[in-house]
Amino acid sequence: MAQAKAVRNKKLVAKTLIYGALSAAMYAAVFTHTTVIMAYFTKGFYYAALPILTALGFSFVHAAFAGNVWSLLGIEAIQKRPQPRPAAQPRPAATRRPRVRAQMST
Amino acid sequence: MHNVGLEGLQFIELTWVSAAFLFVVGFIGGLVSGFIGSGGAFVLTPGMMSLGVPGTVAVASNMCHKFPKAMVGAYKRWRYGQVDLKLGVVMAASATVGVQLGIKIQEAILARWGQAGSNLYVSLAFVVVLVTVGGYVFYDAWKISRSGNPDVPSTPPFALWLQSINLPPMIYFKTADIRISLWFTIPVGLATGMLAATIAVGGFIGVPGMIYMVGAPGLMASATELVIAFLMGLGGSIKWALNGMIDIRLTLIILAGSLFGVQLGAIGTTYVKDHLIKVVMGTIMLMVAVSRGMAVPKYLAELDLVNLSTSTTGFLMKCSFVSMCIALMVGAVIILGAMWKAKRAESASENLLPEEELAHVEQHV
Repeated sequence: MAQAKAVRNKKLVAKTLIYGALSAAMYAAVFTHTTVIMAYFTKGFYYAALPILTALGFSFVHAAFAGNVWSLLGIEAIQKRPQPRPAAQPRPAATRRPRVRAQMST
Repeated sequence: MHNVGLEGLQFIELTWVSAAFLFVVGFIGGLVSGFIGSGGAFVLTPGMMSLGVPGTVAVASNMCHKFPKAMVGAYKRWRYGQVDLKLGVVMAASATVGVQLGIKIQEAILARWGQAGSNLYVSLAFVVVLVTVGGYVFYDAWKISRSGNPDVPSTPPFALWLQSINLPPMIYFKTADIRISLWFTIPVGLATGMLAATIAVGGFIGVPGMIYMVGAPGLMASATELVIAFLMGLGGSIKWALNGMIDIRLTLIILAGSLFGVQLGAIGTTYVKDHLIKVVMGTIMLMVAVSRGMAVPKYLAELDLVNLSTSTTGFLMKCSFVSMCIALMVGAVIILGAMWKAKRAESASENLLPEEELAHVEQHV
């Protein structure tokens, strides 16, 4: 149990680091080339796809990073415990009905 | 290529302070949006404008951060089983028409009374809608918390009555388990879109509309609102991007904070009871109404309807912005406080469980 948790934590740390590095690299790429980026991203028409796709791309990578950070900090959704359904009662064993027998004495 | 965006528009120089401000407001706005399905935008746009960003660029950049944030929030809450995708798409379709209607009304007011008239209309719409709807939402939340049984969300009587009317075409929303006529969802969508076009926060009508008219539970209505926000935000962003109005630097900084916030808000919904959505929403709406009410005298003065000095109107506008930030902060504090309380209760019950089980076993021995 504890071993499985440790393996899970290791994986989580690795994923957080990868997504964090990727996100940081993407932000660095944009903010070190703002002049060129602003010139193209504000051209309109066909270039309109650039800000939309950039926002989408960043949201995938950065959201994955942010989600992993919360998980690492132990902030995760509470799994609502399903209410236990009443257990089915075992059927009483079938018993033979007493039969009424009438006998005629001759 | 014709450059529409840079013509006559100055994109601001970014400093560390302004970037930190946008990141923090983005985080808090995201937290509130992830929890109640909307909010944050009403502080971000004036916040950006206070940094010197032109109004149209502020609106465009804000909208471009809104749709990916809403997408992430909607996905997260869909995984928790809180999103009714069909309801979201149906509402978004009529909300799109509502946005166009709202824009037409705005244009007509702008042409008739100018910028001051338009600002006055927006502020009055803020005050009237938020006081009426927010007041009712808050009253309902208060009533539920006093009822002694806030755990079980009940369908409002008006929604039950609408659901009982068989007016074709009837639609069945599977996740929400609601069967209602399409004609009753349309006014909610239209009003959502119209409010979005007027005050940029359609969710202040959309979420209460889905709760009190359609009959969706508060948690599901707020989660479904994120689908509407995504679809409407995507459409709006494409429109602004075609005109080259989006400042991607601002969008990405806000997104950096809001993607943390929106996920925390979404996680928070799994910790709380249904009626807390109404508490947070009602509180924020009433506080924002007060804040916008403070801006009304300035626009009345601009229309020469009242006499006020520039310093007084300037002071009132500052108070208006600060109280709006406070509204957002109060919402965030309620959410984080409720999460903290629920987390503590959960850990306490986990620690108590073995003892309880032990006592149970001892009783039966």
